[in-house]
Amino acid sequence: MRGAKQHLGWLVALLLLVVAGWLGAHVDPNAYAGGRARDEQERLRRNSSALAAMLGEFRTSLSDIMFIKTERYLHGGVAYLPHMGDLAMSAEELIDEVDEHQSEIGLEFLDHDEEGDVPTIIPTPERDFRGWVGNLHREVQPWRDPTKAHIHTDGRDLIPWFRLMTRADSHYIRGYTAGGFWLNMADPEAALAFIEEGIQHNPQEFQLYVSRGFLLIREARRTGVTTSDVELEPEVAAILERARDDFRKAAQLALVKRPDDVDEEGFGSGGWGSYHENDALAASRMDILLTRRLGDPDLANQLAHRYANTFPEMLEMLQ
Amino acid sequence: MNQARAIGVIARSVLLEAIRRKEIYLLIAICFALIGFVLSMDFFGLGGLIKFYREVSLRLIGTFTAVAVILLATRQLPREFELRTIYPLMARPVSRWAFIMGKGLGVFLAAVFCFLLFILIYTPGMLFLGGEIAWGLFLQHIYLQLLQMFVLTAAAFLLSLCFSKSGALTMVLLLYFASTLLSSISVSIYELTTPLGQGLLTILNYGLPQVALFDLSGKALHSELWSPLSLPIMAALTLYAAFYTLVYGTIAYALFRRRPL
Repeated sequence: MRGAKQHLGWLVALLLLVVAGWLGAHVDPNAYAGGRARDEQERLRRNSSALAAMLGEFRTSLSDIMFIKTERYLHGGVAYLPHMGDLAMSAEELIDEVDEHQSEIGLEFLDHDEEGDVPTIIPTPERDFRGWVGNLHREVQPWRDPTKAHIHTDGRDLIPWFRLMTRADSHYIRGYTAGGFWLNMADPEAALAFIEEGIQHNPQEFQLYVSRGFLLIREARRTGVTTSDVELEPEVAAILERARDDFRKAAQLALVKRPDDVDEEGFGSGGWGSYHENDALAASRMDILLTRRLGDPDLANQLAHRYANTFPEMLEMLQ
Repeated sequence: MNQARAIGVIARSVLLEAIRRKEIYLLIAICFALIGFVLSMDFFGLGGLIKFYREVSLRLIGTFTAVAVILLATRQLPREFELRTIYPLMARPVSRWAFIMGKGLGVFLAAVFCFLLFILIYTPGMLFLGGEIAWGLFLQHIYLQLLQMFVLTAAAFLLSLCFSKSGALTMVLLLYFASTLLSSISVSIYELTTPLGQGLLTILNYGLPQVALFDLSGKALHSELWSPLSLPIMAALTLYAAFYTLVYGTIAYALFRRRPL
């Protein structure tokens, strides 16, 4: 009897090994896409495997958790309800957000004037049923009255989390775009390499090209003068050409991906959001502007006509 | 035997047992390896990324010490009955409350031992990264964590007298890991529930200790922004921990007293 049990145990162990081997060969957790950072169509396309979905959901949730953590770091540990709107998922808006945030950091950790009244996870005393337990909780944890402006801290300490969230989920586009802009503050070359890594994993995600395009424009500004009244130095022109190529690639990908039913607010079927619309517009606009700046006004006008089929406002850029 | 001396002897034996057993070193070794791994991580060659190390280390230290304490505390009383080692002890003039107190103190000293080892690992790591330790908040955090260990020990004693050893272990681990989540959820859903549900949440709020109240790591992490807690707040938290330790400990003592030898 004991011998039979032992044999059964070995059989079960062997079976588990076989199953583990099969899983290892057939499941690619990176094939799963979920979380807050991608559109519905892509998710549906990728998530056909139930096993990949089970394993992948954990991975993408982990990335989401890390992204929320970065928001907390920026607010000195105070846990607000996630309040970055759709536009803050746009690569173009993100770079402005990062600039604005950094400009508000000072020795006194200046408050952000525009934010306020975003509820905190630990509620105010008036909304907390826990009485004195709630009072102690607000003392022990980083907490700030939500009616007061937020505290902003340096974003440098977020960089490890962006590295980890994109390692955990290489399809976490928002991790690459936001991480790239923060990393650009500390090491512009590393930021470009980081976005490049994102593009290698997600060659069809146009927001990554938009992101790299804006980083290259920053690099061009650091290298030399880019204003329209001055002739471009060769090094600056070379960088701007790379940026233009990125915006053109982004515009092409975006126009293929963009559904026909986008409403006035920029939302469309298949998970197309206002942030996609914003970045598609930015890519088209920047492609026209840089093409003209690099000395090809005819092509710039042709591009304006082409993009105007989708975005009529591009006709205003004709010269 | 003098009861105070008996408490000391029992506490010493628990501490020695904790130090001699391999599991505490295994936990420390795993934690040490994880902290070392975090320390060795390179993020784009950038230096001075202190907060990541600080956060992960503090979380690991807190969690591993709590697990060590829970493992140690839940087996103290059941094992005495299983191995029948309680009989020669009770044959001596050692009261049952002194026995429980000695066991509790021993587990607490083991927690102090764990924390001391972890601090010996954490501090050089911080210095290696070029970071500063905000000692006020850091020591307050360690103090609150130790208070938490008192509460967990008392809860473990109580539950190990009500349930099997593994049942008690599971429940205390659940209490530890789910308490913060439960606290957050209860605040969020309170307004959505019926008066009956609200009553239940209120009972849970006061009936179960809120582990999050002993976790100052959030402020210690962003120590450039937050000041150490004031004395009245620290006193209130000490009373909070003392209350639950006393209630759980007293019930555990009452159950232990009624248990036939």
